[in-house]
Amino acid sequence: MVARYLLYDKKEALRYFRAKENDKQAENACDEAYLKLRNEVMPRFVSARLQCRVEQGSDGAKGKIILENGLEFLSSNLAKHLAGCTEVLLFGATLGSRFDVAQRRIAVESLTQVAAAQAVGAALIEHYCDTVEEELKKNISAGNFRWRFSPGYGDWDLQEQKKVFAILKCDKIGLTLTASGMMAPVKSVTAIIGIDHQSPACTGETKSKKHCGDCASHDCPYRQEV
Amino acid sequence: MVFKNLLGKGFLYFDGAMGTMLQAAGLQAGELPELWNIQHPEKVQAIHGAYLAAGAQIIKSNTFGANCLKLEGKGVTVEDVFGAAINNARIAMEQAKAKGTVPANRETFVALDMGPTGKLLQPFGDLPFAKAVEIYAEEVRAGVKAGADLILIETMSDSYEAKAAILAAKENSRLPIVCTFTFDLSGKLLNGADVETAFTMAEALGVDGVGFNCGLGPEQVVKLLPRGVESVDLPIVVNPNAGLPVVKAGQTVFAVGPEEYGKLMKEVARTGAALVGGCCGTTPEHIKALCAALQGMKPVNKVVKAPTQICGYGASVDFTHMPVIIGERINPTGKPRLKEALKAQDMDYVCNLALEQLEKGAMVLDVNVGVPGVDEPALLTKAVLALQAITSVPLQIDTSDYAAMEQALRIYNGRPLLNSVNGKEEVLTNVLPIAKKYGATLVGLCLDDKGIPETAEERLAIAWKIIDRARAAGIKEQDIFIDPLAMTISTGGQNAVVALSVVQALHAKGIKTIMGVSNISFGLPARDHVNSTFLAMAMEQGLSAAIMNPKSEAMLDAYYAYGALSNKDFGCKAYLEHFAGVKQESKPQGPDSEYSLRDAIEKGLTGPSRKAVETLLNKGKQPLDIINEEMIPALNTVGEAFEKKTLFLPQLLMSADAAKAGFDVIKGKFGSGKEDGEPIVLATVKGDVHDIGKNIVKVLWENYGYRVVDLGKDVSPETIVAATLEHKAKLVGLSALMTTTVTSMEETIKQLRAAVDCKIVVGGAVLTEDYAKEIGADAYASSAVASVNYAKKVFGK
Repeated sequence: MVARYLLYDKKEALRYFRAKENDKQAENACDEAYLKLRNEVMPRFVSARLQCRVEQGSDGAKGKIILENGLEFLSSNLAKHLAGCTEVLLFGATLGSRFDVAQRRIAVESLTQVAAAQAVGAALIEHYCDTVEEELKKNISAGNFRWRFSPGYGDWDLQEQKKVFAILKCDKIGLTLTASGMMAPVKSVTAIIGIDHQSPACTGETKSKKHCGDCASHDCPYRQEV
Repeated sequence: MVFKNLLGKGFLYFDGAMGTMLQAAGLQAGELPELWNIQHPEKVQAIHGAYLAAGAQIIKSNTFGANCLKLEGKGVTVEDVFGAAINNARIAMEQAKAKGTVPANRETFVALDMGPTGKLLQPFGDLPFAKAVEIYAEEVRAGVKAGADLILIETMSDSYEAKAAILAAKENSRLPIVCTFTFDLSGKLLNGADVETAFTMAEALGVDGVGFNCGLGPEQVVKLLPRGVESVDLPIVVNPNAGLPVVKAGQTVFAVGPEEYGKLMKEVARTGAALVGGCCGTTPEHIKALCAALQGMKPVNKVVKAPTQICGYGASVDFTHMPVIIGERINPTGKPRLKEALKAQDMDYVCNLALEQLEKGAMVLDVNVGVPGVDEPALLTKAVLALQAITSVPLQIDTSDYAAMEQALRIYNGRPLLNSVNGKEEVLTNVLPIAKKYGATLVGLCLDDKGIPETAEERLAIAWKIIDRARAAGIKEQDIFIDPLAMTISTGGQNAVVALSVVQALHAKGIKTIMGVSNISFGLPARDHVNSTFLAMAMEQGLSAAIMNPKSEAMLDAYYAYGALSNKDFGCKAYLEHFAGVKQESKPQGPDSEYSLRDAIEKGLTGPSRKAVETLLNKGKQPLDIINEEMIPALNTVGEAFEKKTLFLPQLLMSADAAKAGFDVIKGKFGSGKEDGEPIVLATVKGDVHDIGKNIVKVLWENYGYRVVDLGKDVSPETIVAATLEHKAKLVGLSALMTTTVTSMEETIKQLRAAVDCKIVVGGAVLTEDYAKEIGADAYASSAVASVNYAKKVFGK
């Protein structure tokens, strides 16, 4: 499935670029990168909706999300996050491989530009995920949605990505996993969103950006304290 | 009757979706549908049977997503699964005929169905092209053994992967091949190739039918269909989805019902499809409705005579309007800096030459890496891979080495020009089969064993000999470009006239011509004047493509002026664009020169840095002094500010770019100086494809004068050890971005420790000081500046 329009969130791009405030040169670099990339992104997503059961971890055993088809996601952070959920939405999204080609082309010319391009790409895919999330939540009523959570986050091992790929038809959007467990094209995201049909409607927690508290990467330059 | 004989006679009907039907029969999400061939053969046969009863003649085997990668650890082989699948289709056919649900005289066929591998090919992902061919070859062999009637390569969203599958099919069977692609609404594949490009490439590789499947519904495909019909001389297949997919409450559904599907497919048939069926969301009812809707109709009699097209994996280029500009700069003849770069396998330099030419309007790039003493097959392959990683424009593969030719054509992602064949027997015998196999268009030079003839008549005789021989080898006349060979007028007054009359004579007979234009002025002063006038003269005689330097303003000016004058550039559109661009580029030149080199670097200004270096060199300052007295202190200032967090990443990078621009000026004048400087080996470890961080470190180290041996990304431990030994490097830098690839970093360190005495510095997003120690590194660099500081420590300077 295709998005019609991708918003360029310059503020986010500058954050990924690690620019200080009001750095005009950095802003120009991001704008320039965006202009080179905007016709190269072909965003796509695939999704699935599955029943699930959540088991919390105990005594060193990791928590589990057990899906209707028998697959299990192992992560205590995820289990805690999805406590009370009986269904999940899974999705995979990508900006496409043309983005990678453009980024390599930019890399030949300039370091600044390629770093700006990577920052712009990160902002674009994040925004795209927001729109995908919105699309998927349409027509699902009375749900208390949890914010999206991805493999590699907290104690959800990146190796578990394989399980996500086993469910989603990522082939359809040209999203693949390399032998070492990385996604190709580079600007891609997979994520899980829990649906809790029991609890009262969500309390604005669905905006997913500021949830660094659970993550083990304490040195992460993008870490945002809540 | 064999399948091929039926092509083009009447409609042939494919079946519909297999996945949709299997899900209805109980297939779970995450389960491999192809295992059902063995686990539930009766259910698979029942689905085939339902499609046959609905009127389908071509049954796709239930093998779409299976391959050796996906079957790993499932306890069955590709041969097991593909054998069982073909068998199920065959049994369903026999049963249908025995039961009478299919008339005994209806021709039915089993198509060996091959879908995408589920991997992206290098450089987009980690699957090497050769491995992709191998994966498909195994499937083809299994299908042939089990008795498939044809091969269907479908749902291709990457033209490169389609090429791998087609080659595998050609090399391992004699079965007819049908290849269908999945386009988006704008008519593009996921890798960016458009309808014309994908179809051209498949046709050139020798398939028997091409078409559309999946992705879109009939209503959308019908809009793209004319483009497909007009771009190839082949029967067209259309197997769409039951409409565009829509998400309803988190699930994907297809909304077009059987009746509507039949109605819409009637329009598809009218627009030129000859083989029709369905994909996702279609059922036996859809196929039944389709067959009913087309009853009494005949396929459109398709006589198109599609134009010759060449392509990379973006838009294709044809030769029907203005002559095509082929950039000649990637050719080491007379270019010492390129020779040096090629010997050092410096692909960045080659890529830069490509981008410069594209910016100036080159539509195709010539690639010639013929430097004495290099392994040309390996180097040409490497250059083609590097170029197609950064651009999708078509390439002209230019070599006289047959092995280099074959290897480069094989891994090329598109339909290239091949430069060249000539009238020599030995060359004809060797080159023609290679060009035919890989579907390349071919440049024929007017020379033979006796050399280059003096008269136009003799050159034409060679041209016709080449054309005849190529035709006999199965290459269409329209896919041949004759080069009359422009010889310099400084040694023969008739040379231009001879070349032009060859162009004229061939053009009159509908044969395309191509020429290295600038040769005409070799040995003369002010060559641009002669070249540009000669180009205009050749265009007037009908030249199809000019191999030239797009950076020559005079030639480009002549090109666009000719276009406007000849009305080939309708409404002077290209002319106006070209000269509007020129005006914009002449920027005011004032303040740039006011910056000192140190200022320019500290402020991150590339242009002023370049200019400041030039000024210093002109004043007689020695390169080494410029580096040590100006550049390094500036870089130190920036680095310190970065560490103190008074300056941020963007400025650090801009300064690095500015310093690099200054260095490039010095390199351009004094050579790379690669022999000097302490060697450092640098790589992103095996399994990891992220290289931005690594490249930042590389540029910073180089700016400080170290000789960086950059091994690239996804580099095996063995390669890193070998390079460290070869270059006697005292320092190795390793990068890894993901937790999954730090293990590979650890393995690399282990192997380095066993083989060499060197320091190892590591960096990357997931690493920390502790983590680095744990895996045995000597140091952890939290930033590119930290890696410079560590290098200074190791080398004591």
